[in-house]
Amino acid sequence: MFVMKDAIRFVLGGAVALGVAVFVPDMAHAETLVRAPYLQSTSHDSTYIVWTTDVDTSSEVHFGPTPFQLKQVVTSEQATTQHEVKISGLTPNTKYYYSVGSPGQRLAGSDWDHYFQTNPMPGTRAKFRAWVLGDSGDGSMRQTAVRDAMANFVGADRPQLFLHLGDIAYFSGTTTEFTNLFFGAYAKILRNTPCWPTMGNHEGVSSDSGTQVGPYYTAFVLPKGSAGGIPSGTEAYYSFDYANVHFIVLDSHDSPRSPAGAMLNWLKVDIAATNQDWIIAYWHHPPYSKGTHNSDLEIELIEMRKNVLPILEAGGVDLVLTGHSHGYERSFLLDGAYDTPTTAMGHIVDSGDGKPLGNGPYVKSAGINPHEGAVYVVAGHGGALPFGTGGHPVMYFSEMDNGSCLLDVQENRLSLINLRWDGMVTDRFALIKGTGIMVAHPDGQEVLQDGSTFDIRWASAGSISNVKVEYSTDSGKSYTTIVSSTPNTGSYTWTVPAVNSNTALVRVSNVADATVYDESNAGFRLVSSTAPAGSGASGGAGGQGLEGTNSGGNGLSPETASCEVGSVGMQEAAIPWALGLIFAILWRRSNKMVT
Amino acid sequence: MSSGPLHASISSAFKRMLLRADPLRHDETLRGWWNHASVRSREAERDRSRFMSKVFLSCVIFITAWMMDVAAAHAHEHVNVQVVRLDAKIQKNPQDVTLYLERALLLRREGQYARALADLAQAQKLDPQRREIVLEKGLTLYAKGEARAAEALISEYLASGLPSAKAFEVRGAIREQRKQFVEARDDYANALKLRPDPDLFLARGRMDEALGHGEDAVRGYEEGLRLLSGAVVLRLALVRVEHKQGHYDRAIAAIDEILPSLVFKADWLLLRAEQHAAAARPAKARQDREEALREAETRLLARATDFARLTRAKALYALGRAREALADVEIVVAHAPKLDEAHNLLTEIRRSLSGK
Repeated sequence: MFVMKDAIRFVLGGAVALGVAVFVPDMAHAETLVRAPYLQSTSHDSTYIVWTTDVDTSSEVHFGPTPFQLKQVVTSEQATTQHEVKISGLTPNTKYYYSVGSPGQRLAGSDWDHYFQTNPMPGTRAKFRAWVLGDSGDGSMRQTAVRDAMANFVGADRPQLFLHLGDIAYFSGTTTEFTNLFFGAYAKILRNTPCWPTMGNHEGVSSDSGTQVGPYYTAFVLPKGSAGGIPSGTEAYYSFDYANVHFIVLDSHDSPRSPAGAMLNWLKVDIAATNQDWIIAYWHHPPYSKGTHNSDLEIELIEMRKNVLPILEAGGVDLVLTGHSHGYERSFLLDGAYDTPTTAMGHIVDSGDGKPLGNGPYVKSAGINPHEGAVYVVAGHGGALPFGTGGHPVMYFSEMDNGSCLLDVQENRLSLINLRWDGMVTDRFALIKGTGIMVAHPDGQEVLQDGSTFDIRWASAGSISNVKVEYSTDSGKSYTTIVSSTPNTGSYTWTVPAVNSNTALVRVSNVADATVYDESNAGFRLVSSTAPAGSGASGGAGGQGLEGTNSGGNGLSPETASCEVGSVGMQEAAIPWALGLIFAILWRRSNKMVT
Repeated sequence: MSSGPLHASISSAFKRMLLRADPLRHDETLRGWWNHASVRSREAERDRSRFMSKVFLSCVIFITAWMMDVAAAHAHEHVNVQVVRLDAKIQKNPQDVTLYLERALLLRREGQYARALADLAQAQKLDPQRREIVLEKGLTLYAKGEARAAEALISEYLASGLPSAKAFEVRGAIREQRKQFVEARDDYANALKLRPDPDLFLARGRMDEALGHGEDAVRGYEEGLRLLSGAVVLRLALVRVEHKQGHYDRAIAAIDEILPSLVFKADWLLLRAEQHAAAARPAKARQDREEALREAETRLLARATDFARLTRAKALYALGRAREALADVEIVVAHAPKLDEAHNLLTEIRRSLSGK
């Protein structure tokens, strides 16, 4: 019904559009964004903000604690289409909002959607999440489905890191392919989450690791020097620290893989020097796979297994992530399987499933210890067509279907899930170092109705007799006790209280030692029909969430999205504004013709 | 438009086909067939259902065969999906030289040299003037172990147009193997002009050292350190060559540059101790070694990696405690039989203990 408020909206919309059309200078020749802003090489005190434009311009970044207080400015006078602005002197573990453009021209940002968060101080045992994606950029429906499945799954608990395992832009990693199939496809993730990539064979068609020239090396700003590790002198392979994890990124495609080569000699120094609690390595070509590639036949795969794994395992690596084979394959806890063909005999350290609710997490000693096993994951299923059967002898689980992985790290616990393109979690394993507890259920996204009963479930390693169980309705800022002491049986039946929250967590801790604890990796919902609206609610996503089902299209921010569920739908509201705009343009054109 | 003879023959062939397929075979026209098919006699119903079953079965067989074909293609000897795709592309465009080149490169990377060379021969037949074919052929022969033939082809490529870092690098490696250090150095230096990467800086420095031009090697490594953000492999090479030349204080300066940035300093302290020892400063050498040992022991408590144990073994050995060092190295070799450094140290300690 077209009532008075619609008429007012029509007139106001027309007036605003008229103002824009008449008073804003002609923008036809101003620069436009080709690649929306994305983050690179973010550390605890600095980050790069990168974007590309269609014409050469200078670069300017405004940043600050809210979108309305972007008072700090970094400018580069050099005219370029590839804008790389480094912001330094930042506070660790802090959220900043930003905008990009050139002096007098803002291209993006200055809103709730454009922000970055600096890393925690290296060594801090902070809880974090990483999105692990490989072989994604083929422009298929599955690529979009994999991305959206992740966005829907994580909700407000979005990843702090984006690890790309290579084959980022099919078929040849050209500039256009990068723009459309990577920067376009993941723009809403990349503007807030730094991507740490490794080169795949498809990027290798257009980019060269030796010269570090080509679309891959142009697009990414990676640490040649130190980002927590030892300087490699090249962007082809590097290392960085996030919280208490040391990430080692190798180039299996285009850098020499021989023991005498610079990459492996750097690796020995780098892995020996790290002081972090966890070591995670990744590159493109999998050392173990029977997916679309056979690790017993292809030279890159054989050499990475034969030459690189002995160094990593001697240095105490915990997890190795790779792509290239278009499917998901996940090993047992493994050590010393370097031969060709690979045999499992004598190399499986733990033949359990590693699942918190199955045989239990894989357990290693506290700290970093060599040869206690590592888990090898092939995750080359981010979009490219999967096929093959899997069935490698060292793999516990194989699924030749599209998806991506989410890695969660909390102090001495690490877990990884395989999230299929249709939103199903088809595999999960966990690692605990030393004594620890791992909450498995609820672990994010569950919806619990008040008055119902829910089995809280957890796994533990080490000697723990009794546990305390608590819940939080504010993302872990405060906790309410469910039971102060209960035998460590691995489960407790909870009667869900009458509170509302979108960011509830459960924490289970050792009664005898409160430092031994674990909480849900991500928030779940508590729904009460009796509690007043907002009781115990944390305000939902609060600007943190990724767009879910709508992510393929409109890219609405959580704030805008919340408007959608209000009394006035976005489409309905847009009609008078659009009519007003058309009216204003026509009016302006007729005026121009008169003059 | 009237029906021509072609139309008539297609039409009649179509009818014949339908009639052959039609189990009823009563009418000669389509209309008749459909009319007849609509007669609800029990026999006709049964026959039609048989016919549909046959069609359904044929579809199932066709789909199964197609899926088996796809599976067979994927389970092809060349598991590399790119090769499989290129096979199909080449079948469609057998005159496209670039496709043969791309497949040859992939086959070379897979170690299938005969097939790669066959592709290159075909490419050369199609376009004898294309330079990349010569280079790719040279690289394939080099990978195959035919160094002399590879060198000739790479030289031919380099003489015929714009240079390539890869070509210089591979020819340099061939010449280095043949101990033609001057020529190899030139090749590496030319490659470096096009591609400043750590491997090439190391290769050129290696040639300088082989030629006895220590100062050139030093300059080269320093240049690399400046250009490549302090690449650690070049710093290690620099320290080694300075030591070799007797420039112990310069070696110490290179070590001291990196020390403050490191959490775990023991390996570099041991390296510095070597310089002090060589410079006849035994007290300073001992001080560094003892500090390295303390750090290694502390580290081993928290992270008993093979590298940390190896560092302790080196410190113990340097401090004259060879038997304790031996015990550590034996553990490392047992755990990590593929670590060359551990094997080398084990051999050295055993030789020292046996007095040979």
